[in-house]
Order: sequence, then structure tokens, then C-alpha cells
Amino acid sequence: MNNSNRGFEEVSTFLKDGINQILQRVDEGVSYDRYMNLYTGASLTNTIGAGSHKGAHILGGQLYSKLWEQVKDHNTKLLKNISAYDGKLLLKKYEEEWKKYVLASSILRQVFSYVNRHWVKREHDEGRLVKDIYSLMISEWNDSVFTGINEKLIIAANSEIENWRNNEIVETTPIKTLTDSCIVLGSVNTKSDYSEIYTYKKYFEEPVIQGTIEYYTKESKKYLSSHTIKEFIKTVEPILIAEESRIEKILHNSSFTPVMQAAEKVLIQDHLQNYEAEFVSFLENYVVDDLYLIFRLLSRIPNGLVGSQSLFQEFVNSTGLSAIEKIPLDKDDNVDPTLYVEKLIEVHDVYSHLTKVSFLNNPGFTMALDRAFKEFVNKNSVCKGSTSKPSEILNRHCDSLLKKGAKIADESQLETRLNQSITILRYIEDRDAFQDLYRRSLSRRLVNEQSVSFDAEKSMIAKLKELCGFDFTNKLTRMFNDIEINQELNSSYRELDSSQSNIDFSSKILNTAAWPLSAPKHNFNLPHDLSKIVDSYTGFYTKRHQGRKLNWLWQYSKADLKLTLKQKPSGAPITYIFTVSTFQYAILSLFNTAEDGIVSYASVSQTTGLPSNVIDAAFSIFTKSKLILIVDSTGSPIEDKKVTPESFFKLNTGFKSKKLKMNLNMPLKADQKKEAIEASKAIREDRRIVIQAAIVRIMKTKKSLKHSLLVNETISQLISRFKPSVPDIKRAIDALIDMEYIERASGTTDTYNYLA
Amino acid sequence: MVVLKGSDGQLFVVERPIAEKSALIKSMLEDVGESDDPIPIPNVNSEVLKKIIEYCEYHKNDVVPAADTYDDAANISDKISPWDKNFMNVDQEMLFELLTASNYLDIKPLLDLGCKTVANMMKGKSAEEIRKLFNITSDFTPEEEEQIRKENEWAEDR
Repeated sequence: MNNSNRGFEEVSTFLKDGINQILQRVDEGVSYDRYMNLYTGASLTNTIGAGSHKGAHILGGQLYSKLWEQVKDHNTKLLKNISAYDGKLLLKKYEEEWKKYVLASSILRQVFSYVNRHWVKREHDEGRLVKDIYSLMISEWNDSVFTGINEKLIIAANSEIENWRNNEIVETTPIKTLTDSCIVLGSVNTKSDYSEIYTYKKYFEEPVIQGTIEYYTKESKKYLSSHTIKEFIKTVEPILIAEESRIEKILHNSSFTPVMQAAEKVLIQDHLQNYEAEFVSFLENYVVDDLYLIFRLLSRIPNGLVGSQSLFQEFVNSTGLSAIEKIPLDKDDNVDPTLYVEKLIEVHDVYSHLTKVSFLNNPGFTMALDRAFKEFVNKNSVCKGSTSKPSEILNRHCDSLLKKGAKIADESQLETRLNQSITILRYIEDRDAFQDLYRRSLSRRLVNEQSVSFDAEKSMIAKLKELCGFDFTNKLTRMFNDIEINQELNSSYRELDSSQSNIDFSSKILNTAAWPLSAPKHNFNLPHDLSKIVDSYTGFYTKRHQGRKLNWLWQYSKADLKLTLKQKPSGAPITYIFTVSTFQYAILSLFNTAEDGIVSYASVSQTTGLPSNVIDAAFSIFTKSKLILIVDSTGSPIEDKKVTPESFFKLNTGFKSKKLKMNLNMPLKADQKKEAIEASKAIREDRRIVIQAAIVRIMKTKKSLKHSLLVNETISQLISRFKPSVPDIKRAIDALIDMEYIERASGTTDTYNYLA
Repeated sequence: MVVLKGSDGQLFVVERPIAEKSALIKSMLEDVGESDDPIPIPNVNSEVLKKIIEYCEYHKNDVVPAADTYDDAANISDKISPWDKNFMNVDQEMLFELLTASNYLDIKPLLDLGCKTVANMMKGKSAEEIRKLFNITSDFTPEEEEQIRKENEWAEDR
């Protein structure tokens, strides 16, 4: 034991000198010889007394604590030495000493690796918390050097960063080294509740963030005292970009977000109201680039865009509303649908473009734009309170595009206009109203053969299918099929015609389920010549399709009528062609057979069975065009007499007109109104059923549901078609309770159960 | 190339990756940098050093095991490759020289190999036989020995 003790003393003196040299002058290099000798010495010490295992172990511990003491000693002196410096010199000195120390620690780790491998391992195995040599070295630096100087260091670092921000040239590596040293110091921290970067966060990042806030608060106050907020906003982005590149150079990457957030809070968040005010003024002046700038800046702060998004929505809405208000109205307060749609599209295109270039189609802004459009497309000065009015105007626009006689000849232009209509339709809330109206308009175009082109109609239907779904366009497609089948049907009939009539007859057979048409509600006795053909046709058709029943919708049919009049002074006879409704035809045909050419109102009424409003309307247009004259019972003309049930009529053989072809088939005003009423009734009825069906579907899956949830769910299911009103939903619920689809859950007032 | 100098002064020139099989030399080269000076290995004579270089050359492409794996659960003594077995086919003196040197130079795979070899030599032998094998004098009294035998009775092959 004595022997080995003496050996130990010798070796440890040798080691002490070596360690000192490494600690103090490692930057001068260490030779292989010295390195290996120190290692061998430290290893030897460990193996001295190998005969007794315990002895070696005790020596390892002694070596460890001797090293510790020596390092502590060295570091205490070092701290004094470093503390003499300030500012950037301090940072440089710290960098220099730290780099030396890290290298020395690495060498000592290897020199003492025997201690690590044997003594430290054994201590660990026996459950004692002992740092390995390297960790010991690093945490010793933390305790003896860093703790004593960190406040001075951070003051120096912050002032260097400030100099850098003020565009002075600054040496960045000492700051970066300080950052790295904090990270290394944290990594050997054994306290389990500290994260590895705790030291860095607490002693470095926190003060840097504080410094950042102070600096930019001070600077922005200074800048704003002599500049406008607009100028301020334009300087912010370059400042932030410069700050980003600084952070990347000198701080740990975990600091990027918190430091930038601090700068952004001071430079953006704290002035948010000013930013938003500028945003609105940029919107008003449509400054695309500046809006993009504000968008980029506000994107940087959390929830920064929320305010500007709702400002954008408000702005677009009011722009839309005032654009609509400027559209001139006719004397009946009606708007020109084409002009109206054009205005909407104009606003739409302008702000969709803006959303794309200035807001990069950011979802929040796209949604704000959508909401704004929904708002002013559905509620504006033209539509007033009516929820079906937007659909009605749009449908009239579509009708004018697709009807013969439209001004648009160019096919691609028509396509563009149709696409625009779809764009508007996308924003209309009560889309089902549009669907119904559109179907009626389409049926009118098809029945009256007024479609500008089938291709255009079909392309529109394809577009509608995308937006409104197959259910809706299904019926439209069937309408087209019917029309196409009819062409073939009519030509086969013509070949087989057995009536030997002099009337050129064609018909349209339309499926009741697909067409929004209904049979006339009043009587009508067909004139004999027509009934012959109808009988013949019915025979022809029922032979082809047994079991089908034909209803004749005379109110939609029409006839071309020829009238040949001799010219009095022996001129050549002139033939006029009149387009008339079948009802009008029935009335006029009476003049063919009348005695003396005089027809009485009473006989018209009796023979045709038509109601008086139809007869009145027909005679009013006949007399207006001077085709028919009102006469007394003897046939003498009476001037300025109104059509009454006591009137007599006579064909005007002296009829003259510059036009050889005239259309007398004017739809009755009352009929148009009636159709509008019918349409809205149909929509209401349709909705009633759709709401009920939705409720049943929901209840079937949920089995039991509270009233408010059921109402919400119903609205969200139907919103793509229309916005159901809460009273309508309540009515539907009551109806379903009556029909025993659902029941009120017993003992509650607001819960329903589904009845299977 | 790195020059290694054995305790008796003989020089060995080896490729750096082979020398770096020794964790000691590896970290020293990293810390101090490479130079033309020979690296003294004061505790290892040239005969042993030569043998160790042979081992390192043969194993130079082996994957380096993770550093500081003190607890090597995979110390299965019968899993020794034929080359390693043949390499370890040396007299006892050399065997212990190799063990000490590989510990000193911190060549973990070789240290493990040496330990496995020694373990295999002890396997299936009684305490008496092991003492004889390694030339160990028992420093236990017969009473102590009996006590230990009793305590470890459960581990004996029966």
C-alpha cells in the first residue's frame, strides 16, 4: 500500500503539471508524447494497486476530485481575467477562452478516459450520480465562469446586436459562439425538469427578446414622430427581413420564431389599427401592390388577417351594393337583367382578381369574398326583401341569352355569358327558385321553338349539372329527349296521315313528370277540322304506345292562318299570314261559316266553350289590329265600342297592313302573372317536401335529437339548395309528428325520437 | 498515414483508419491534429503492437459499435468467428498482454474478444481447475471457501 501510494503521489504531480499546461496553453498545441504520457499516467494510476480491486477504485476517485479541484481553481482565475473586459472585447475574450476550454475538455476526456470507463462507470453502476469527465468540465465552466459573467455578456451581446441593427459593422462570430456555449452548457445540465436549451433560453434568448422589444419600440416611436403610418408600413418589411438574417447568423434556430414574434409584435401588432385603416384606404384606391404588402405583413402575426378579412368583406359588399344602386330602373321599378348581371360580374371579376394577386387566394380572403358576394347578390336595392328575386332576374338574363333574337351572335361570347350566369348562381341562396324558374323558361323556349341553339342549351345544362346536381338537370335532359323524339314522331305521323285534312299538323308529346306544364283549367270545344286531326293522331299514337294517355294543352299550341283579301280596285289579291293561338283560331274559324259574316259574342262563347277573359283578350287584339270590326246586329260598324258580351263582330274585308306576316298570339298579362304565382307556389310546395325529407333522413340516422340541433342540421343539409326558414322547419316537424314519422320524446319538451 | 511507436522503439506505419480502431488514437488525432511525429505507445511492446495492428487491419471495415456501450448485453461467448478464434490462439502471456493493451488503447471489440476467449477457457471448470489454469493461489480460508460454495450452490451444474 505504501509503495503504491508513493507511486500515486509521483504520478499525480506529473498529471497536475500536464493538466495545467493543457488548460492554459492548449492553443499552443499538445504533442503526441505529452498526450500519450498523460493518458498513460492517468491509466497507470488507475491500475496501481491492481492486486486489490478496491484500492484502484479509491485512486480513481482521488484522481477525479483532484482534477475537479484543479479545474475549479483554473476557472476562478479565468473568471477574474475575463471580467476585466467589457462590450465587444469581453465577447471576443469569452469566445477565445471558451474555445480553448472546449478543446482542453475534449483532450482531458480522453486522457482521463480510464477514469470514465472504470471509476465513473462503477459509481454509476452503484447508483451514485457522478458526471463523466467531459460533463464535469463543462458544468464546472457553467458554475465558475458563466454564472459569474453572464449578465455582462448579455449586455455586451445586446449592445452589439443593436449596433448591427443600426447598420454598424459588427463581428458576429463572438455572439454566435456565446450562443453555442449556452447550448453546450445546457446540454450537461442534469436537472431533469430543464430542457437542454434551458440555459440558452433563460440567460440569452430572454434578454435578447427583451432587447428586441425595447429597440423596436423606441425606433418606431422615433420614426413615426416624423413620418406617416403609410411610410412606416413600407419600411417594416425590409427591417424584418434584415432581422431574420441576423437571427440566423447569431442565434440558435429555436430562437427564430420567438425573436421574430417579438419584433413583429412591436412593428405590426401594436399598430394593427393603423394597418387596417391603411388597408381600407388602399382598397378604396385599389392599390394592388400595397395591399399585397399589408397582406404579407399581417400574415406574419397570429390572427393578423382576421380584421382585414372582415374589412374586405364589408368593403366588397358595399361596393357591390352601390354598383347595383347605380343601375337605372324602368318605370315599373324593374331592372334590365342583362345590365344587372353585367354589373355583378364586373364587381366579381375586379375583386376576385384582387384576391388572387394581392392576397394569393388566401382561404380567409376567398371566404370573405364569397360571403360579401352572397350578401349583396341576395340582399340589395333591386331584390329588396324577396328571396326569389335574385333567381328571377338571373333566369330572365339566361332566357334572354338563350332565346331566339338575342343580340349575341358569337358562340364563344354566349358561352362566356352563360359561365358568368353560373358564377352568379353560385352565390344565390335560394337556388331552388332559380331551378324552377329556369325549367319553366326552358320549357317555354322548347315548346315555342324559340331556343337560339340546342348546343347552347345543352352546354348550359352541363354547367348546371355541376352546380345543382343530377336531380335537377335530369328533368331538363328528359325535356330535350322528348323534343327529339317528337321530330321522328311527327314525320311518321305525316306519312300515315289518314285525316285528309288541309291542315299541316304537328304535335309535341311531352312527359307529364318532366315538364312544368299543366292542362288548361277551362273548357274548350275544338273546332271540327281540328278535332278530326286530333282523333286521327290519338289513334296513331295509342297504337304505338298502348296505355298512354294524351292530354292536350291547347293553351300552348298555335296556328298559322292564311287570309287572302281581294283588293278593291281589281288589284291582285294579297295573302296575309297570322300567327294565332289555337283559341284564337277557334274563334276566327267561326267567321268561315257565319251567316252574313256576322258572329255574335254569345255564339263564340257557346260554340268554343271558352271563358270570357280568353274571348275578350282575343277580340281586343283582333279589333286593335283592325282584322275584326265591332258591328251591330245588322253588320253596320260601330266606332269606339268596347267588346261586351252583347257585341257582334265581322271580318274586316278592307284589312290592310304593310307586314304580310303578323303575330297575334300575345300572351295574356294575367297569364304571365299567374305563371309567376304558380312558380312560387310550386317552389313552396317543393320546399315543404324537401324539408320534410331532410328531417326524416336526419332523424333516421340520429334516432333522437334536440330541437335546436335538428333545426341546425336541417339548415346545413339544405343550404346548397336554399336557406330554409325556421318557421318552415317547425311546420315540417309538426307535419311529421302528425304523420307519425317522429314523436316528441316523453318527459321532454325539446327532443324528438324517430319512429321506425 | 500514422506512425506508431512501440515501447521498445520499433515504428509501425499504418493507415489512419486502422490506427483509429483505437478510440484513444482516434480522439487524440481529432484533438491534437495529425502530424508526422510518431505516436508513442509506451505501454505496449512491438510484438503485441504488431499483433494488434493485424487485428485492426483485418477488422478495418467493421461497423464501429456505438460509443460508450459499457453494458454489452450481446456478450455471447460462443459467438466467435473462425478468424478471431485463430487470432486468439496464443499463449496465456500474449493473451493477457492483448487484453491489457486493448483496454489501454481502448479497442472495444478486441477487448471483448479477449474477454470472451478467457471466459471460454473457464467455462465448465471448477474453481480448483481455474486456479490451476491461471496459476492463482487461493487466499480464502477453508471456512470462507465453504461459505462461498454454499451461497453459490444454486448456480452449480447438477
